[in-house]
Amino acid sequence: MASSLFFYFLAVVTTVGAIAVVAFPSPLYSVLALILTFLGLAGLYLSLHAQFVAIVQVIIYASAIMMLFLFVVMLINLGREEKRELRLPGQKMLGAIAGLALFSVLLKIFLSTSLMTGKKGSFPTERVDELGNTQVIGHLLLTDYVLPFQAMGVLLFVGIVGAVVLARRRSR
Amino acid sequence: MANLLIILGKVLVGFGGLLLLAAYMTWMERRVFALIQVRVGPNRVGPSGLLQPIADGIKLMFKETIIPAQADKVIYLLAPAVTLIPALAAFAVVPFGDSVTVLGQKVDLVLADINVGILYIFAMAGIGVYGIVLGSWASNSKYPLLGGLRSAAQLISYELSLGMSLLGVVMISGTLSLKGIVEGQAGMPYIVLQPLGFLLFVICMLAETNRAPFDLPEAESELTGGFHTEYSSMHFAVYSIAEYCSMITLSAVGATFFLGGWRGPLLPPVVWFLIKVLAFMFFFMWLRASTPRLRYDQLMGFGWKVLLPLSILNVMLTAGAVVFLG
Repeated sequence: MASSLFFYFLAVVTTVGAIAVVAFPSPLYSVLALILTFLGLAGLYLSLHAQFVAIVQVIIYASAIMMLFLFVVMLINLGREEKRELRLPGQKMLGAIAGLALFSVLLKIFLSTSLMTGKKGSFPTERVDELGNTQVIGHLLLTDYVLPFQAMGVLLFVGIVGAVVLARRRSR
Repeated sequence: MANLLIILGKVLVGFGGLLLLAAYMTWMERRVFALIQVRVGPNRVGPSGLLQPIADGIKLMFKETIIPAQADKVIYLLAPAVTLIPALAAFAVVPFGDSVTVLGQKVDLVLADINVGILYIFAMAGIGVYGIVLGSWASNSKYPLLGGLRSAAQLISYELSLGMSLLGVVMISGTLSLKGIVEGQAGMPYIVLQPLGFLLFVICMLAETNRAPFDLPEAESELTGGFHTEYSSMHFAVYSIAEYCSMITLSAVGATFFLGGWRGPLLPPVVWFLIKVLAFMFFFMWLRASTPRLRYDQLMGFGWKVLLPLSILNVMLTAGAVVFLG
């Protein structure tokens, strides 16, 4: 009972936050709404007993990445958004098609969840608690997914080097 | 019912104690400062000035809240709370004593023992930065904005090294839970095994809490009051309580990770925990009274070119030692 109340509360926070990101005319408020959405998501992970994922969601998305967004919005001092002409011909139509495509994917996933089929997944909460989810993720990252994990590291490193090269002052 | 009472009691004792300690840190800071500068310090309100924090609190409550004309009101009023709440919440995972028996039940003296404890503290620290940045932006004034940007850059840079400096202890103890880390130090405190980690942690802790010699965000000679220049009344007080709370929390983390937490001979565990935290706090004040402030480029250079490589070295050495020596 308590956990489902918790879920509905978080679901409302997350969804309202996500709508507010698009609806706010001021970019700074949009950023704040996005932070709220990410915090709501972290709460949802927490209710699935995925503490590690929840905390990492807060550290990386809600604090590190959104801080960069906030910096950019504050430094270039974006004003309120004005009504402007749509850029592409038929933009609304294209948007609707893209939205429908995404919705159909989500619907397909939703129909295959345990809620609809009645079957439990391979990692129900009891199993996760038993294994300890930090340990499970650490183990998987360094065994089954070691190649993508390392590739990601290289990609980030290239990103850092690229940023340094671009930002460096020209000197002879 | 008994369970609920115990939880409520723990929350009241934990957060109440933290807030009280934070208030008295202002008194301790002024007295220690006076001692070092051969002055007397506040000694008028109550015995040895012990009621000074209460008098200050009452004074701040009765002051007028001033909102700058061009400020973004909602964010301006909300920002101090955004700093205070994570600063308080972070303390929840710190064990401040051994388990005690209340109403016939064994109660661990930690508000929440979660298995990602230290990561949780970093998450809360990360959220706390928003209060500073938003408050400085919403004031719509140049000094707060500069102070806020400096603060954010500093906090983000030193958070990395702070996290890395604790990794050594995490690797040795094999757990992220603070309770587990205290349990791992039954034989000897981790400062013996991690002297470099401890040194790095103390330096990063100073920078994380905006304390001298890293108090650039509020460098009064160049930025008047830093990010809270425009704040008055209780909103100003909330910022400064939050600052003292995060100092106490980080001191408690230092005591837990390197000095054995609440462990110690003879005296009860809670007293040992307080002694260790207060020792850290005294060190904070001592440093503030005796060191000059760094320049901004020195601060950034030191963080990225000295502390971060050293903390990576510490992690690699510890990893090697754990693998080869067990």
